[in-house]
Amino acid sequence: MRLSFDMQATPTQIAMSHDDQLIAGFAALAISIHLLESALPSPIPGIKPGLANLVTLYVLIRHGWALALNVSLIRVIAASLLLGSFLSPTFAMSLSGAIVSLGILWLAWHCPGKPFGPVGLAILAAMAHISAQVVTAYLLFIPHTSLFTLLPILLTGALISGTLGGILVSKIIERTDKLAST
Amino acid sequence: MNHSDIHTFFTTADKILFLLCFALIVFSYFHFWQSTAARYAIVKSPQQEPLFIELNDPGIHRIQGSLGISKLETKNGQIRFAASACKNKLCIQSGWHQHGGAVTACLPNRISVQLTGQDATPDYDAIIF
Amino acid sequence: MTLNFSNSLRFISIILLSSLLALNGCSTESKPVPKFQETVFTMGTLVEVTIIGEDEQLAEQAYTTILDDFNFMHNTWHPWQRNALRRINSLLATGADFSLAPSILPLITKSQTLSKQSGGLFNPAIGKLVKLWGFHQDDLDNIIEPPEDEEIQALLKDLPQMSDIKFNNLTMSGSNENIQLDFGGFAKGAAVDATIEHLKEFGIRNAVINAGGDLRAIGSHNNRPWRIGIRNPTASGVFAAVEVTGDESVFTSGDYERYFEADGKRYHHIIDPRTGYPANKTRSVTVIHSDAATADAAATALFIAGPEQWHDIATAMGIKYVMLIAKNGDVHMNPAMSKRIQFVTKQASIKISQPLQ
Repeated sequence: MRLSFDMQATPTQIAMSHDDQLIAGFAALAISIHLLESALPSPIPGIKPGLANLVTLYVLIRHGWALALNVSLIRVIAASLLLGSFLSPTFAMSLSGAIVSLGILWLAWHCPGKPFGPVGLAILAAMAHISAQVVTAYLLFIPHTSLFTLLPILLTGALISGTLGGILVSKIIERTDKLAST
Repeated sequence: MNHSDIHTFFTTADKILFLLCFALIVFSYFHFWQSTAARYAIVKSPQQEPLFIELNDPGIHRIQGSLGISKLETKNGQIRFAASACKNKLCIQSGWHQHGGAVTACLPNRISVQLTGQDATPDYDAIIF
Repeated sequence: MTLNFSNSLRFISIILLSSLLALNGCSTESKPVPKFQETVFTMGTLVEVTIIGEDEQLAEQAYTTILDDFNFMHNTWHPWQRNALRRINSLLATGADFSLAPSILPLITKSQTLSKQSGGLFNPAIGKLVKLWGFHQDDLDNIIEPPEDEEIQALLKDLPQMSDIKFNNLTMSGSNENIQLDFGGFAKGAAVDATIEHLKEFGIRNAVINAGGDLRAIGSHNNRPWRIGIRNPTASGVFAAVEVTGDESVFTSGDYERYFEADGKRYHHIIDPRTGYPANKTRSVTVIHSDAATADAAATALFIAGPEQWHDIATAMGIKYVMLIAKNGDVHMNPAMSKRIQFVTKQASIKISQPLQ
């Protein structure tokens, strides 16, 4: 009796494409940032520096929208699992914010001539993100129109963090471009 | 991938977008902070000091009047008499009030409720019935 | 374009400039105009006084003065308190001559004119009938049941009219022993007139006095007309709106204002002098007229007149704007009124009459 094993089928290594590796790496980075941020105290609930979103943005600019989508969604789901907030209200808000901002980014990224730079994209993503979160909160949790009195404040925060984040991402891209071309 | 897509970091479109967002935010302050800014009702009764009730703050307020207790209910920027010590209950029948400047009362119980119209333009200057 | 200092500076200055422009555009809308508004219980109802565009001290002063006015008028004109009116009523019943009372005289003379114009539908001389029903009191909780029909018929036999009061130089007398003056359907209007005139004496040009749902407005609200909401008190919300400017009064009479219930039936306070019972063809009447006293009397008279007769009575009284809601919910208006009223909720049936001259 001869037992034959197909050596190639032994799953010691799942074949990963280059894209998969990128996604895994960036998602890990985004998740770590997300976890660190969640430890920070926030003056107003919902205001976070949003540094994890910058990872999404960087991936979008250097590697395209499809990868950015993957990184973003993996980050939202994995982070919520790790934090124990999966399927909670926080998760719903995170997810809605991520989906809407990704949608806006798709539109902006596919605008003919690619008019927006990192700062513009970051602003769009941040504004869309926070708006989606407020609307989700209104529809699902706090159906009071007085909720919208928070919107101007949150939008201001989004504009600032979007601008600063965009500047930060552009600096990073400068550096990585330099590194890549050396 | 194509990192040379972005060779200018602060494009013209970016700047226009920033200005638009800025204007939008300024507008949103005026819009949301004007019409839904703290609207409240001033409740007067001979038995106590004038009471200021936040209309967006849901709850029931017990007010002592000449005849007895009237209960005022607030919800979503509106207020109404939920219960009262009077006989005809006209105050309760007048239902929910939300117009800035509106006045309602339980006359037998000497309780008056006036909605402020100071933060927002009142819909009506006076109400007759 | 690279991110360097001078470019950033240029950018920031553009931001500041545009925000200044945006803010400037918004601020002209909300230029503060002094508005004085107070509500107070007096004259048996809730009175709201609004004064626009005057110095706060002046407004306060004027307001305190008219509060005194209201208290004085309420006590003086109250039909059954110990006052000049009570004295006059007892003297009228005797038929003897007595001296004119200055505080009541204007009410009497004006009522006589209005009563005649309304064909007797507005009749303040039927105080005894009003008392029989119990509507002379401030508090209606004591009324258990309507009066007996025989009692009503007895009073109707020789029903007093305003014309039963005769003047003779400095004295007056009554020629019907059943005369009792009750200015319930008129005193509020007269009081509002007096207090508005008093405000005018203070130099105030833009104000509203809203006495429990009946008001007179002078001037305008800061460059736009006064917006008045009309509400059905047994339903939420405003169903119609009207704008007034210049010097106008808006008065309503309704079957919901003062009433008692007995055996499941509702008896309201507007008694038809012809039948001795509450008028039952109308739900409410809204009248716009220059002076409040006439508007008050007209609202009462037209309520009693009902959907069939209101047009004739309004013509006789010189009223230009009438809206009458009949018992079945039909809305009757003259063309001029229908142009002024804006319905907020849809009305089932609107009937426009012939024009009122």
